[in-house]
Parts: sequence; structure tokens; C-alpha cells
Amino acid sequence: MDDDEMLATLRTSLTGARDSLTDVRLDRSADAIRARARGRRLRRSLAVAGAGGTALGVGLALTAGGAGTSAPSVHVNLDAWSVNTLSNGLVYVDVRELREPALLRQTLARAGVPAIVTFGEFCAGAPGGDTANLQPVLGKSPLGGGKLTVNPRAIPAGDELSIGIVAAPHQGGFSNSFALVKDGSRLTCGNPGAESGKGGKEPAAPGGHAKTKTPSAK
Amino acid sequence: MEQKRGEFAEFYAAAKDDCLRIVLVSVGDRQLAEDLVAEAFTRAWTSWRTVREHPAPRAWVVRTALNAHVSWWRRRRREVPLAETESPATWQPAGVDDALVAAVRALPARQREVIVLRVFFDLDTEATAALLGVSPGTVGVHLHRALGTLRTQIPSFLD
Repeated sequence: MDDDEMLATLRTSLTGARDSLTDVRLDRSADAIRARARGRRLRRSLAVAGAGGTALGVGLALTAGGAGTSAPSVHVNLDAWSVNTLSNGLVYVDVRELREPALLRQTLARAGVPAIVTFGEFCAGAPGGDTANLQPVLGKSPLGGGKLTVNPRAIPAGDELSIGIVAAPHQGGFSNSFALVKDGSRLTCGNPGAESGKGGKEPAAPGGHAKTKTPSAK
Repeated sequence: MEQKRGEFAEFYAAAKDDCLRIVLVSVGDRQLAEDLVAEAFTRAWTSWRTVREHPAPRAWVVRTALNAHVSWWRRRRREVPLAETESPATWQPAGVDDALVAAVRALPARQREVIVLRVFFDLDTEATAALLGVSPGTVGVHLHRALGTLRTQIPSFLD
């Protein structure tokens, strides 16, 4: 059998094998593939930034803002969450999975949002503290679940935005709590437990699961 | 960006199952094949400007998946004791010459790539060479050696 005949035989056999695999399908979405690529780009960039001591902004796809503004441009989209700065200076956050809170905090900081991020518990400063000032920061109608839009310019100097998100399957995703806390102040954190049903935007009141910690623990 | 996403999504939807089946025939392990093809499509998205202009984008994906398999195998050989480097449980298609499929899988990586590209995508020598980044003469050598190996292992090829 010469080479051409062999190739023809191989083509018949192997394409027959392929064609018999009608039940073999790749059950991954194009979105999952793109997210995988995004995550990889970010990890590589972070590694480069870490190894080379270069600005983390390189890794986070940060670029200088437009002329006349010092606002950074941040567009970080991981499988777990996204942080994107908007042209109006707001920062849009979309948390889809409760993973990598420390990296989220770093990313928010790069976007101009000093934040404390807790997944699975809510944290607040002194009871009744600065929640009244949240409206300029989060708007009149904060987005629900893991989504929020933050106005970093409205965060008072020396304050941090405490972002607590917990899983709330019965509410279709997440329950959240926000608070403004003084930078470096002690926090009261609690597993919302029975309070998660409120789905409220108010900081969790210290309850049976409450504990205190300092922001540096994040 | 939206157009780019749409183009990729369209290509992905049309090509993913076919690419998976070809890679599965080539490597024999379902989970591994899925991982390799997902990896290849990830790289395709990363290099979408290049891939979308490629004359045979599906062949590009399959070739990338098979290259990733080589890298995976090298890592595995470094990371596990020699006694454990046997191939994982392999998948055999029904109604296909087992010896032929096994012989193709056992070919050296580049020879197997040439066979896969020639057989599944009907690429000629020049197109195969362009995809692999080698000369047409090198493709001819790999093909000749691959067929020579298969001829020694598959009795019907001796006829």
C-alpha cells in the first residue's frame, strides 16, 4: 500500500472514529473560556508586577485617566468578580463568587475606593456610625446582591467602605451590607446568620456571632 | 469588542465539539481532551485577531491542543515517579481498528500532528508546514516516518 492509499485508509478510519462520537460535546460556554483567559492575563500580570516590583497597576490593567484627571482606569474581570471604572468616575463592582477578597480589596484601592471586603460576614465600625453618609457613596438605590456602584469621591477622607457580602441562596444570590468605617478602627463583624433574611443594606448589628477585629486582619 | 466576542462565540459554538472529538481520538482520555481543547480555545481567544484570519482556525485549535498535550506530558513526567507515568485509562471508539488508533496515538508528537492535520483537515503539505512553522520538506519527512511506523504495526498496510 503506498502512502496515498495509507492516508486514505487512515482518513476513513479516524474520521469514522470522530464521527462516531456524536455524544461527545464540550460543555463549557464561550463566556467561561473568555473568563479563563482574563484570569490568566491578570495572574500573569500580577506575577510580573510582583516579581519585578513594578506598579501593581500594570497587572490590573490600570491606565492613566484622561487629561486633567487623576482618576485611574481599572478594568479587572475575573471569574469571581469584576471591578470596572466608568467614564463618570464611578466604580462598578460585580461579585459573582465569594472568592479572593484580598485581591478585590487591592483592586478597589487601585480604583480609588478604600475598602474592607468581607465575604461570609458583615463588618461595621462603631454602631450607628456613618451609615447615613452611604447615600452619596452608593447612590439612593444601591444595587442588590453582589453588585454595587461606588462613588469614590464621596468617601470621606480617612474612611473606608466596608463591603460585606454573604451567600443568600433563598434570595437568589447574595445579601450585602455596607458601612463607612474609620481607617484603622476596630470592626465589629458578624456572621449574619438569621439576619441574612433581611437582605438589608444596613450593617449587621453585632449579634451572637459577632467578633471584633482590626482592618489590618483583612 | 462586542463584535470580537460575537465572532469568537460563533466560532467556538461551531468548532468546539468537532475539535474535542478529534483531540479525543488523538489522545484517548476524555477529561484530558476536554482540558486540552478548553486550553486551546482560551489561547485562541487571547490571540483571536490572529486566529480569526487563519486559513484553518479549527486546525489551529487542534494543533494548539496537541501541543498543550506535549507540555502536559512533560510536566507529568517531571512531577510523578517513573513507575506512575503510564498513560491514563484510554478511550477506544467503538467499531474502529483499535490497533490503528493505538498506533497513531503512540507516534511521536510531531508525526502525530502531521497525521492529524492531513487526515482530519485535509491540509496539503504546504498548509501543514505553515501551521506547524516548519518547511514543507520537514512535513514530508515526518509524514514518511509516521507512515513507515504505521506500516510496521498495521499488517493491512503491508498489502
